[in-house]
Amino acid sequence: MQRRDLIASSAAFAAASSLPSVSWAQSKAPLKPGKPYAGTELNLLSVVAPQFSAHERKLAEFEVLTGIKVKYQYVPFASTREKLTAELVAQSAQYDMLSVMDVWGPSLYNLFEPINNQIAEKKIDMTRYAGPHLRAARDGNGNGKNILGMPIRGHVQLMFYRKDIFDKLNLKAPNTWDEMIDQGKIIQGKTDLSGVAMYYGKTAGQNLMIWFNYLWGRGGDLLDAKGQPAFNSPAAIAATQDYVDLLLKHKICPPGSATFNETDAVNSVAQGKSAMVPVWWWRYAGLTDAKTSTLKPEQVAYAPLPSFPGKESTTYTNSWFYGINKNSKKKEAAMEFLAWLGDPSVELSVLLDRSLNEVVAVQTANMLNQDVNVRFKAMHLFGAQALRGAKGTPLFSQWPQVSDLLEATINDVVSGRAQVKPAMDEAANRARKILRA
Amino acid sequence: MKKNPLPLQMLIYGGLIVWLIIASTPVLWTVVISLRQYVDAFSIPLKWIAPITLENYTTLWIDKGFSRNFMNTLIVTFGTVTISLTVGCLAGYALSRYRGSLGFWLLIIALVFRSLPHSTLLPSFYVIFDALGVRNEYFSLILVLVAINQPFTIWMLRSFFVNIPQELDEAALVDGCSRLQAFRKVIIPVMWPGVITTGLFSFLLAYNDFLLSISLVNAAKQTMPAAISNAIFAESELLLMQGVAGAVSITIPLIILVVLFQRQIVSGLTQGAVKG
Repeated sequence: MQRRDLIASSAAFAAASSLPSVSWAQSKAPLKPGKPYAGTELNLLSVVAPQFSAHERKLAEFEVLTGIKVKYQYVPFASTREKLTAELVAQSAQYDMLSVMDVWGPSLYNLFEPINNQIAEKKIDMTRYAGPHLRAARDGNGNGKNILGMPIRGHVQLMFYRKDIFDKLNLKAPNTWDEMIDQGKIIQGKTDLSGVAMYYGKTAGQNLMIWFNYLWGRGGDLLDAKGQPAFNSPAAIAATQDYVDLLLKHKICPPGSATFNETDAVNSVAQGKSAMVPVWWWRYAGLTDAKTSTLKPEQVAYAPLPSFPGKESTTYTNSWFYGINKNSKKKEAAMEFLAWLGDPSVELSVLLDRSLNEVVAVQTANMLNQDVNVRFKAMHLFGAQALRGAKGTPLFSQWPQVSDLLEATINDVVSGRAQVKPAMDEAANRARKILRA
Repeated sequence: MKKNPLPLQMLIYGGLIVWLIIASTPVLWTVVISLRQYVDAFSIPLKWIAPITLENYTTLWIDKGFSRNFMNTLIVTFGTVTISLTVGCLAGYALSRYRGSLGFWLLIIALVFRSLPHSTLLPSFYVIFDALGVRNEYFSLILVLVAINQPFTIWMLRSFFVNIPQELDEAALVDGCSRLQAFRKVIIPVMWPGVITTGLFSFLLAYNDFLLSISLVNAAKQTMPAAISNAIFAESELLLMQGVAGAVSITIPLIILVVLFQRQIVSGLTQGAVKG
């Protein structure tokens, strides 16, 4: 599907939004007959997210179907990794299932139970998941034969922009990064808004998330075929220069961007100070809710991220899966839960629940679902398109250290403490040492 | 006493006022934004005046059941302070009067355990508590907090006891007291500032603990700092505001406590081990 088709679809879906909401299909999850695990109590360690609270509210349905009771234990994102590692390394059986973010997977692979056999037995079609999300749940740095859990939460990036400003200035959502610069300059010339809110500060690798799209778009990559740093290749240097030039040369970013994190950038748009922000799709709720934003929903629109001319739109991804603890004594019951939770109808019911504003989806069918796209004005179509061009999150056990190094390097460059080429060369040298270790 | 010249006084008081403003502004601003919606709390430019709402507090305390976390904090803090002070007073007193080299080595070992990062102890606690089937119990959390805090209380209380003349013990013994009676009826009454200061530090450790609460007990038994962090680090701006309201809620009891006991705290700090 071409970009213009998607935008046409968006308009069509918007027109169809007055249709009544349809109810979702009943779960067809492949559960074992006869409730063989009735009375079992499962403990699930999960990161905090509105999506998971929505799942929790549906647990009564699962309990009726299986007799299994599931208890959610939430941990804040900032301490999830420590909690997860401590539980698994101590070989504790306290939690039967645990939520894992993609980049943490490689150091924890051997602590989760592969579920290939159960998937085959239950005839679960794993192609239902978008490739980058399923990759996060595979061992072997995303290329292994074992599936360690069911993808449950995944994000793609979109370009959010001020529709009212774009309409007033007769602009269209940017297709390329150069168009974004041009439009940013026009907006800055004709309004008091900054062009595009970017986040170059150091916060958990957030300043790399848009950089990846520049990197891939220029034909660069993080590592070469031998697994060595390639982010100082000529293509990667050019991509990084393009990325920092938004602030340093073109000056289309708001003041303070050098220290902004993602929330600051989103808030800049929400407060009516910037016209565009490339960011995760879940930010839509914050940009349109009257309690968190000065903007009305009709003032905010979105499109796939811009790309380089002739290249497909890409997205960095963030994926989570629920895996079964290797030390759990209730693995079969846990698999029943994962099979139920992974049924497309559960994700669809959350997406279509009008009491929530939850956009997160990892299953392709739901992302292409008409009702979902009517409700969210083609957001998920854009997401599906972006996922086709996504290479996926870097999956190797040293990534968190390399990520820290790269985010500090980018921040040094935008702060004027370093030049792109020598800084990236130095980062590559240090990354080689990290990878050797 | 000779008074400082006026310009010097103005400089000193001016400096103190500036310092007071710098130190208190973040706390006061947190209180202010906790009474706002996110859109006003993080407005650009900053809004000095904005509509006031109690929604963040009502959602946190009523809808999210934060009172349960408050009760959990009370239970854990009370347990930790009580056990730490009881053991600390007895051990500190004994070590202050004991002259053998064993006492010295006990204190050094206590110091080593005190210096260990809390996170290094966690995996072993996981395994032990799992094996005993006592994970997710209040007393497990209290036990670990006491274990971490005890070396500090012993050291601190010992330094207070050392400052109490041994002649007081001897006089009590001559008057017919047993060792325990001398300790209880003569030594402890003159030790109150030290006990209160040490108790306050123990209280702060248990009250502010995040890592152990988030790791060792489930949501139903978590203390306030752990519950607040769930809101602050969630992918939701609205939850963040509940976290801000929680941060203010958790600070108020501390302020009340310090105001109530300020005389004893100052007295303890100037008499005991914390004295420079």
